[in-house]
Amino acid sequence: MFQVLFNSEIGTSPHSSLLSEPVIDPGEYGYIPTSGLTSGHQGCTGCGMVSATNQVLRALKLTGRYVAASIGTGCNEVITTQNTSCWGKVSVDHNNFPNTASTLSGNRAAYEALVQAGLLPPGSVVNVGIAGDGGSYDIGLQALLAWIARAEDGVYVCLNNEAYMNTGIQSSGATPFGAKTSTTPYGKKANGNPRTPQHLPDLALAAGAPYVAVASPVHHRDLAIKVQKAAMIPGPCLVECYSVCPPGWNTETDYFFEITRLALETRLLILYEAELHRKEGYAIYTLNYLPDRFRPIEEYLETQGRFKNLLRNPEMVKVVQRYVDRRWAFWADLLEHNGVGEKVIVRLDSVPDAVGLPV
Amino acid sequence: MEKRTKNELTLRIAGESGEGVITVAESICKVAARMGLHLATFRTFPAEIKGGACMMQFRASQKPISHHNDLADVLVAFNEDAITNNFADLRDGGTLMYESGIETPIPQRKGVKYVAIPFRKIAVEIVGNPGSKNIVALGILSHLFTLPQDQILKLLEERFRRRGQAVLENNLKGLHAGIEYAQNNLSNVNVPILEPTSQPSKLLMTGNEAAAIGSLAAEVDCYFGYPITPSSEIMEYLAKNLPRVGGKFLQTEDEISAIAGVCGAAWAGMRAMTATSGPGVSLMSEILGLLSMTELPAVIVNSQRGGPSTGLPTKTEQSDLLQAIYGSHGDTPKIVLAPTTVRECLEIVVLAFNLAEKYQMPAIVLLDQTLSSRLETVDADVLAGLKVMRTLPQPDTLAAEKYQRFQLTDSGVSPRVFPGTPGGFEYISTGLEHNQRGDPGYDEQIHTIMSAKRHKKIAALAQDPWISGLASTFGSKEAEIGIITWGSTAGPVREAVQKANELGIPVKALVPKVLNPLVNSELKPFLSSVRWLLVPEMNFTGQLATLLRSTYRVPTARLNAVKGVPFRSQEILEKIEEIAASVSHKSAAASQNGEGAVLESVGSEQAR
Ligand SMILES: Cc1ncc(C[n+]2csc(CCOP(=O)(O)OP(=O)(O)O)c2C)c(N)n1
Ligand code: SF4
Ligand SMILES: [Mg+2]
Repeated sequence: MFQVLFNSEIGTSPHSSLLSEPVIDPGEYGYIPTSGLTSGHQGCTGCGMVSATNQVLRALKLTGRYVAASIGTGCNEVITTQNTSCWGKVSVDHNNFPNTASTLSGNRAAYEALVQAGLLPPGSVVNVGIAGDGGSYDIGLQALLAWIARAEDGVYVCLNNEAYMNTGIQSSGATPFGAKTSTTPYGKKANGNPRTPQHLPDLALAAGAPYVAVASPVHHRDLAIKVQKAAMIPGPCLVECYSVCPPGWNTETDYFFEITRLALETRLLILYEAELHRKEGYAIYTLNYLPDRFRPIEEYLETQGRFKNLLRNPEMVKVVQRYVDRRWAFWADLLEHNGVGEKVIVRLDSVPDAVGLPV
Repeated sequence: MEKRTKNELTLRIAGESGEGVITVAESICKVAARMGLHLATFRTFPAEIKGGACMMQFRASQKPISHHNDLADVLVAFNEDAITNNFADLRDGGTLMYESGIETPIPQRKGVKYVAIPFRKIAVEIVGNPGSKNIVALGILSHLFTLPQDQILKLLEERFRRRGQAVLENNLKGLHAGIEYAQNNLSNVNVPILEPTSQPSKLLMTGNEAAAIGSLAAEVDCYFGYPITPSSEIMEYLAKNLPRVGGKFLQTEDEISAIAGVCGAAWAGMRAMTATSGPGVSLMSEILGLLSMTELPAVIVNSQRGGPSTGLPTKTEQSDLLQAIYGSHGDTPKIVLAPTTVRECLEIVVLAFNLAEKYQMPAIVLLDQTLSSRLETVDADVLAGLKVMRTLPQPDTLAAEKYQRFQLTDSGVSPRVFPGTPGGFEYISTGLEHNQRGDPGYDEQIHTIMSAKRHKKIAALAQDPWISGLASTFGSKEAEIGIITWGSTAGPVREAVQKANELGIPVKALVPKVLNPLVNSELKPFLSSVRWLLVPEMNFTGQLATLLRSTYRVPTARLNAVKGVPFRSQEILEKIEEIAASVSHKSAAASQNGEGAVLESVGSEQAR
């Protein structure tokens, strides 16, 4: 257990308590003058992780280091490598499904050996591991936590679309409560996913990662700053990206932005970062985004077919709302400090600038 | 108009995944199955979840069939790639029906009949949605094949009712638009027709569904699984259906835990199963050895895909045979079974449970991607014919003070007692080598004696009446050319053997379903009755051929392919013809050993 300290400022800053220099701030619109994925990916229309990976690569290149990626099996790997590579000038090591973090270790050890032998300059390569939620929360968790335990330098990005999408939408440790997947059906004896999801940044921080963050591909500046921090802070750092998946979530393909916005305004998705001063025994939490108004969780759930059955069961909806409220209560001290009392929760259709969402 | 072929049709329909190609083919299959026709199908999958080329082919016949056919009578193509990728698989004299909106030149071949159809335009103009072009195509095809309209309507209702009246009505609109178009414009298109038969309506299922249903029929108590293509449907089926019958379904965090869960449940006396594919089996290897060592029953379905490593996740291969038999370190006896049809997927899973429990060891059932994912008709009597045999412990016949879990017996099988049985039957179950009581020990004799005990069981199994008559044999009895094959390759082999015999080349074939242990009573008479042996299999190294050669010291001609798609019967037929030609040549040269020839003679090697 660590002492929890809150950063009194809410928002995203290029400064970090673990870095002497700030990272590059790409400015309000998050423009990054580097290249990410090249063309030809085979992801679905409206796929969140294509955009996330693209931005992660661009941000990593801002550090001026050469990017070497260890990628896990899953949609991201399949859609960016089949027939043509979309990785441009990035070296990619696709190991087996459980091994993203261990491969990262091997890649890093090799790099360090080359530096020791004087063949490469220190600080010239950033090693990044990129995997899905199945590959991170489930089959790859042991490798990931052990990589953190070994305190190696590198970045781990989890592209969280909340299920095993590439194999046909089976539930994972990150699947939300009550969601319908191919292995958590609805029926006489089943009510969708019976478990509430785990939260990888919590696990990583508890394991000793110096820096963990939650980002979204819709918030470019925030994401770019977080990824750079993860690269620059020595040690194993983790960034989880919220990744909208239209087929897996059963949504229209063009609600990427609205869904993310609703995730934030219902507070199901919380953009935050935590810096761990492990030896001192404390962690500093920063809330990066505070919505203008809070919305009831139904408004998020209503956008996705995977929650259709859940919505028919008011008791289950209450469970989700309670879960969201309690997790948000973690930030109570910080909000109070900032004079943010309990906000009134309003329904979307009762406000004038409502975005047109399908019902 | 010329006379139209009746109840003999091979249709291939191709497009982009997400265009509803599979829906059209499956719908026609369902109706044909209800009409009592036999069906065999084949489909490909793109690696991506959405997008990528996909196709489905089915063959419907009045007679039982074993193969989806090499060439299609009718090819329906939704886009340019669909034509390019599949045109070679349309037979001479076949009909190509293609989207008239395709702008690139259509490849020309003499004898092919061309029919351009504005699928997309009809869908846009009449339904108001280009996405309905597949239902338009369904309307057109159902009219051309003269399918009973009420059946098609019923099917659409079943399929779309749950998605709301509006969706259903749109689909009906599309269907009728297709039918009307065909009535007005395609009256002179000559394609085969399908008519109801006198046979009862058949079940239609995939190999994966059959395996899952088989496990339910076998009274499976627990299923532990982890998603992996092409086996995931087994898990998905049981996620839905196992809890309904009071069983326990659990999705684990990886394959190691899935098989460990199976092992734990088996120890506690339950019938437990898992299903996976290549990479998953590799992860499970250690615990397969534990199951062998602790003598616990378990069923593991391996739906094989192209390997090694991540390999070809959505493509078929038969390259895990030797892994199944020898996999896991140490000497690990396991039962290995391989069904050849969808019906057998169901029956052999039941058998696997029966045998695993009787012989107290893991049983691996080898499917492959084609078998797993292909829809096939199964006669509705299949369930009635299943034999679920339980071999349950009978502790009241045992004296607790003398109880030894791993007691040496004539058959090698020791008395099993479930944990918690009152009266002092506790023992230690461990992967360490142990004595008859189960206590770990590695003295000189124990490992020798216990290894022999464990292998005795598998030798006993080869004589078991439960497996007698399981192998299929077909072809001409007197033939000197023999084929041995396994798994789904039996389909094209059956087809090729029939054609060869029709061409006057006598050939026969044997298809064992039990691959470990090899059953001498099946193999030896066959091997000694042929002079030339061919082993076709979908792997690079010839795994069954290697096994046969090392076990029976028979030379084999091999036919191996790792193309990710099943053999065409034509490829096998050509190999048979090649052997037949070389045989007549060699016979002339008497018994001289023909070095470098395509094959050696079985007889000559045995004589050495
Ligand atoms: C050992 C092993 N088990 C299972 C698989 C099958 N597999 C490949 S990708 C995948 C799903 C990946 O899910 P996730 O990590 O969440 O990524 P997504 O596809 O959702 O982006 C699975 C189960 C495999 N390749 N290897
Ligand atoms: S299935 Fe989901 S994660 Fe995979 S490519 Fe499509 S949108 Fe992206
Ligand atoms: Mg995922």
